[in-house]
Amino acid sequence: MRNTDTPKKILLIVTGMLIVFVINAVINPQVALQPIPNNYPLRPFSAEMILITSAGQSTDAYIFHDIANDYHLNNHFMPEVDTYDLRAYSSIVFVVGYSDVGMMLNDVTYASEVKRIRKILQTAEAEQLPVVVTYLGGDARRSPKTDALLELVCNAADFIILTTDQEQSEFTNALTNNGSIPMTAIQNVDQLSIPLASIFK
Amino acid sequence: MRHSRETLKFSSVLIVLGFFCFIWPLTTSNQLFDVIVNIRTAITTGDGGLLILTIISTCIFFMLPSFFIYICLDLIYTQKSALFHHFGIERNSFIIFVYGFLLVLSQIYGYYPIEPVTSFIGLILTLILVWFSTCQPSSIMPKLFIGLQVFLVVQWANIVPSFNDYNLGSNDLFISLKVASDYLDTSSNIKSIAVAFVLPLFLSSLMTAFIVKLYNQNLAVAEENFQHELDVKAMQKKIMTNRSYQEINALAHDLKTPLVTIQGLMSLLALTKDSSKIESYGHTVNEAIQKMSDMISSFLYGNMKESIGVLDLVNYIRTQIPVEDEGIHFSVYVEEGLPPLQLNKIRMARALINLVENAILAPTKRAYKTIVLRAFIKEDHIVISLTDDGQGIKPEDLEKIWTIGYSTNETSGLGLPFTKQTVLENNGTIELVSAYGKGTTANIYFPLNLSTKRSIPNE
Repeated sequence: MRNTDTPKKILLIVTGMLIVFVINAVINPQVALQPIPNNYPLRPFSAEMILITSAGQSTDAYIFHDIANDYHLNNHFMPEVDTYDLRAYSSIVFVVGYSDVGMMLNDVTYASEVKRIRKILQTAEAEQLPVVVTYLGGDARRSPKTDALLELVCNAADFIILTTDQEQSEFTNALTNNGSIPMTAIQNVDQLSIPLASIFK
Repeated sequence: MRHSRETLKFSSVLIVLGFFCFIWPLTTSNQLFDVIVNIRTAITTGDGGLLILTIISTCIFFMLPSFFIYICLDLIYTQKSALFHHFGIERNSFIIFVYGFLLVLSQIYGYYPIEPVTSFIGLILTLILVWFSTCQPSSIMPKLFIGLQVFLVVQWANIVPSFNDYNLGSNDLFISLKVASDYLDTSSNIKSIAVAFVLPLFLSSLMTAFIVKLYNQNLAVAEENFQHELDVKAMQKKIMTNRSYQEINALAHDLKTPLVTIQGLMSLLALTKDSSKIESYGHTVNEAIQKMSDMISSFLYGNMKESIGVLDLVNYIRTQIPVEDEGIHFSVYVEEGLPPLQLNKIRMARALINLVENAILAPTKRAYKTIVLRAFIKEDHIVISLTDDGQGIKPEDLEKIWTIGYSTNETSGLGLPFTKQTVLENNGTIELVSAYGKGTTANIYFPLNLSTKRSIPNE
């Protein structure tokens, strides 16, 4: 004979868990952490003309571009820039975030993206242009490819802005080369304007 | 023919499953690009509404393969259930295992628009609700309705940032949507939509499961009632067959009387030498044979009617009623000048005898019982009325007494249904009036115009 109480109990438990889960997610506000104002560069970077490009083709680059426009920072927004003549620019911003669909949309492979970034970084180094790395994806976007791109660009970075859901970690320490590269961690995208206003003049 | 149709259905299911497993990501890249383009546009223009619409369409887009793969797996199990039963594989085990395998495969495949964690949660929730609903394993409609709602609800969890810690919404598109939503400050709107639409949708899926469960319970009760009704009808048929045998027995018994008469007269004929007596005996034998013939005809041809006086009918009945009991006072009153009736005499007599026997059997607290048989004209009818002063019938039993097999005095329950049927066959109507504790009256009405018509044998 079928025990009719068992499915009822399971259903009640699952429903109860789900309701608690949803209520917790909906009404429990996240603690609004202030950006950690640690290790700002000694001198701000020139905002004469900023090249904003993407590393990984995520839509996060568009957010940075929108904020830069809001703050009237002179910029060229070229997510797929493949010109290596950077003499017109005073600084370069890489917005990191690997996106499968973004790569497919722009018909770019991961290898060609890495190759493009390496060449820009080499040119920037030759031109002595400051490189700012911005990562807005938080822990959610972390993946082997995103991490690899972050490591790639952070090696040449003069300043790093990260959204992270946690305190300083081994990963962030590795990105900043154990704190030798100035870095600001922000809780969410809304707080991006604060370091942006501080580092560009 | 049926086999080829089954093969066609199975092939169709496999094609749909194959489409969602392998073709879907190839044919839907434009939809994925649209999502990215919409996110970019929303960021550039600050259009939070566009972002919310993109989120909704993305949720539906991601729901489709999860939902259809589940339905296809269920259909596959249904169509090949004999094979799965042979190997002892349960439906849910099969679905969970293959679904999980396909999810793992989708992660290895490259980019596949599906969220493994939420899809699996959706599957488990759907299976639980389907199980709760106790719908038929082969019934697909409840699964469609429940699955559609549940799979859509769980997709919404992909977009709620608070669920990031549970590894929900880890897909590239959902992360982009969440970051953009954070930037455009639409997170509160997303939560509002979750409370206003998604939570009710989840409750709706619970309600659907509950309604299906109630429906199935009602269906089971209805089936049980139907089966019970069939059993009752079969029993009634059996009872009627028994009744026919009883009638045959009664006929055989009745035929004995004229046979004994014939036998006695034939013995006398062999002994007598008086020619006048021989003629008289011959005449009596002839009458007895005619009587036997009438009895057999009445039995064989139920609707054969003859003209008979009411008094003759009553007298015929009286000769066959066992009222020797001293505790019974049986009296007869027949109004003079009543026109003859057009009846099947034998069957009607048996019907009236049933009524009299019921009156005799009716319990009473008195020392003796009075039974009165009356025949009179009332308005346009000839009424044959039988009254007893027994215990009577309870009002709640009065409606049931015409049902075959129903009896208040532990008899077969066949007499009254037979009486009613016979009265109706003879163009009459019957009513039973009873006052519990006082007695019962059975009134049989025959229309006057019918009673005066000539007899037309109807063979």
